[in-house]
Amino acid sequence: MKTILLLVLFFSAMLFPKTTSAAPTAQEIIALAQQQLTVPSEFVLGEMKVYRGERLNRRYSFVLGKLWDAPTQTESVRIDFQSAINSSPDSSSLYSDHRYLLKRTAQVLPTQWLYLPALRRVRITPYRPDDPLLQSDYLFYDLTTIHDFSDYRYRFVETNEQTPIIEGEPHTSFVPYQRTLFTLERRGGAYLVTKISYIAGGKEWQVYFSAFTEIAPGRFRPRQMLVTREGGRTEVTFQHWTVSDIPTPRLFTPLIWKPRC
Amino acid sequence: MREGFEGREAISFIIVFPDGIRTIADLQKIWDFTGKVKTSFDNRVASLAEIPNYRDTGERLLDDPHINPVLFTDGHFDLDIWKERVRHDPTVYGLLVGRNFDWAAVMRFLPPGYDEITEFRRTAEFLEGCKIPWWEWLWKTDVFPQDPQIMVGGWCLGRGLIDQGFIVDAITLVVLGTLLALPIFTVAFGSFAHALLGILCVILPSLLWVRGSIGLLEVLGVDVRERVYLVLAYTNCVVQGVSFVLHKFSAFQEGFVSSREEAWRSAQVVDPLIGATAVIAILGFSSLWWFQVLTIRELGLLSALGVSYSYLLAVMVLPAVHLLCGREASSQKKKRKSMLGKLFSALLERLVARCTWLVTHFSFRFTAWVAGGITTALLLVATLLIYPGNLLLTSSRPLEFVEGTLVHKTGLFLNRPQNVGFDFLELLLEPTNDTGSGLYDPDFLKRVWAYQQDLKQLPEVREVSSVLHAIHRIAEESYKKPFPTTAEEVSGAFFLLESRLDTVLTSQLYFPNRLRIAVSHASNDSDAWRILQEQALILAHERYPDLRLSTFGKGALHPRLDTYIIYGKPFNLFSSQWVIIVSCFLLIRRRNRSCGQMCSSLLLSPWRGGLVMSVPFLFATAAMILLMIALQIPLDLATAAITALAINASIDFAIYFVDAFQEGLAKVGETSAALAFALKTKGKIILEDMLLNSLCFAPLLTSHFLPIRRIGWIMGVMLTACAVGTLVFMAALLPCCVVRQKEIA
Repeated sequence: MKTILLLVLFFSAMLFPKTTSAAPTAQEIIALAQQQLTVPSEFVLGEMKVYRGERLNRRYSFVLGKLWDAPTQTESVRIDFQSAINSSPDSSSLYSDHRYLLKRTAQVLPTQWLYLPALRRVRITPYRPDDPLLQSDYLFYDLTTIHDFSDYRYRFVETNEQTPIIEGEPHTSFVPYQRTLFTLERRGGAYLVTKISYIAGGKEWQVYFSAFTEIAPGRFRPRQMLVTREGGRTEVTFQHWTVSDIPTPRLFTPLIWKPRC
Repeated sequence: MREGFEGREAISFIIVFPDGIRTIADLQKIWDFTGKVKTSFDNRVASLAEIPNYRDTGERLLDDPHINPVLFTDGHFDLDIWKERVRHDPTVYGLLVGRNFDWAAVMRFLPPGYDEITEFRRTAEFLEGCKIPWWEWLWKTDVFPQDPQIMVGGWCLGRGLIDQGFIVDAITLVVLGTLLALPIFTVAFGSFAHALLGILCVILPSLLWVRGSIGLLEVLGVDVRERVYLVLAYTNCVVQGVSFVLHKFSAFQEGFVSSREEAWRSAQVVDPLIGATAVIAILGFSSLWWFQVLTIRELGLLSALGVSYSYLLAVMVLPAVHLLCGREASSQKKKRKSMLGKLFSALLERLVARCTWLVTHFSFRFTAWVAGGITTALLLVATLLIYPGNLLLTSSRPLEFVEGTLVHKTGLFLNRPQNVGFDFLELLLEPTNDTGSGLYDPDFLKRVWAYQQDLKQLPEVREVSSVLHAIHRIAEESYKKPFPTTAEEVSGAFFLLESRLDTVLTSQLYFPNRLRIAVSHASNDSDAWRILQEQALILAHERYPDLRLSTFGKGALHPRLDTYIIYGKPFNLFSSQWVIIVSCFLLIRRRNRSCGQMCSSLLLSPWRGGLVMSVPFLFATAAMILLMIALQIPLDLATAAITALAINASIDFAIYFVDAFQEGLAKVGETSAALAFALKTKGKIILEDMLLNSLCFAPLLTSHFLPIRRIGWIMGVMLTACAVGTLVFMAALLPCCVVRQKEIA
């Protein structure tokens, strides 16, 4: 009897301890990274500079807003560009506000609206995930960051718990990349994506996120984003982040957009 | 080029539909091919399956291209309606699809900093659908697409084919030059070993050294490239090498008594003459350095280097190698002539006898007047026909360089009536008063649009394209007006464009304050491009003073090259001619000094002699101009380079002849006898040299490039004219240059 009890104890010890203190899987780490990005509503004021070689090609100020509707699992992204009417990329005397709005639910193609001030009206425009966002190295696909995480199957490339590297293989048809490598960094209980390497069409480009600040408890956002690609780079500075638990759906309803006076 | 503006080139793939676009399968073919180009290269592609077709329904802004996958599954698709829609879209109609729907273009814009040869080879492999092994590139001179419906255009491909043609030409030239020189030397020396030595020690190394110099010069910071006309520098190496080896071995054989050492020592007597010929050739080629056309400058520099190498190899290396490797017995062999050789020799002697009769039969004064009169009259007529007459064609035809290739065929196809045309004249427009808001200023855009419409009315213009077509279409669809009228509307239109097009595409279409307009024309003649360019500039100057216009690209480059040649060539002729006259003066004076110690009281006046030594060249130049006018051969880069080569040949003839004449004067002290002596001793050699040189240029007849092939036979004519100029006209004038010793003193 004593022997049987010892054997039961031995097998119990073999079966249970591993599962209770197991390291998170690649999928779980990504879920944590996705989770820390998912807030009901957030806004950021920023500036995007697009370089061709070493030459500044375009400069835009923008306001980026995000809305996460948990019940419908809908991610809304609005980006208001102040594009220069004055043609010099360094000039800031005259601007025109153009807006894009993308709404994405689950792994289906987002709907995209465009507001052109000259038209005073909103138009639905075709969504093309591989189109660059205003001549930059950033794609329209990259705007819906929360849902983008669900477009891949993940596996570890490096299992270092502090700075894991995870490879994503897309399973959603419209993902414009063939392979994606995420470099993450553990910050408390959260994981932050510090670098993404994309491979598509035999070419590779990198996105670096840096200067993270905690804008709300457990919510970290970068102040800098750099996209480097063959022949150019895009620098994005996020000047001011605000996170809100109270959603502002009016701002994400295209039909009620009014021209700015 | 303005900062940020990238006026780069594109490669146009043309899908030909001989019966026109008739079914949806034809559209599918365009779609598939566009996809293939994008997959194989990158996304910088413009085609019916790529360029947005803006439509604004009031609710939706659609920008699907004219060919999109929806069409292929649409059961109610009507091709005629589709064609009608395309006809109303100026962004694609006529440019990306033929006006008769018998072709469609897929244009690939080349990436920044692209390597031309890499892109050419990638495109060739893409079209042929297989990897081309390295050794095939050694003889490949054309691209053969897997799909016979596909053609390809664009000067990136054109230059790639030129480069390939050049490699093949250079290899052919070396092989044929060697094969021709070998029997010539063997017949001339009566020794195969001497012939082989001449080729291995002088001709082949000089060719190799010239090619190696390109790399060395590049290391030293002199930007010299291997271009088509370098074939002429290689030919010159063969010509000069043959000449130097002939003179050197002839002197060796004449001086051979018992040992090779002695023979080579005595053969040194010919070194100063070879040196003088080399120096004059180098000076002549160096004068090309002041030409404003880079290709000609490179040709001048490398030809001058080639001459120096040939001189060093013939004078120093050849005797040394022969002493080290040659066999004693071989040197003692006597020349054995074949029946053909004897007949040939008799023919040349007869020709020389005719020349002797012509210059000695009549009184010297009379003969000199006739010779001088004919030369002057020819020069006068030639000059009058060029300058007031404008009868000498001064144009270049770029497609001649890719004759017979796929690019040439594409060029001819696109230049057919109704088609877009192969080449474009590129214009960059900006406002005269740069306020910084040019591109978003609706008034500026409206003015450019009006100018663009006026350009279309110019004769022979096929298509005019710019980003304004897209702006016009967006304005019609969204703003319901032909053109944006406010800065906000313009900004909106550009915003839409930039949301959809690749940076590389947009940076080629416009830049802050500047817009690019491409005007297509169906001519392959640089003269026609010059006229078009002038008309565009006059139109802008007279009716659009608020617009500043700059031209760039191939269409603008060729007329500029013509201008450089028209004005640069006479300047080059004068600058090189005085150098030659001074060199000849010094040569005659030096010879006079050595002859002065002999008994004769008659000497050749250095100045007059120097001037008269230019007569063969002047006579040949005038004859060539008349021939070019008669046969409508244009003065272009190729024909302009001929004179530089002809100067060498003519001066080569003249130096040996005048040297013999001076020797004759010194020996017999009588002009008539000296002339007869010179004709007897050097007449035949000059004719042989002329034939030899013509044979050396003969391999150029195998060239892939029409202008180079033209040089092949023109050089033969030019050399004949030089020989006639030397043996008849210069010989007739030389007695007038004879003075007594006292006069010179």
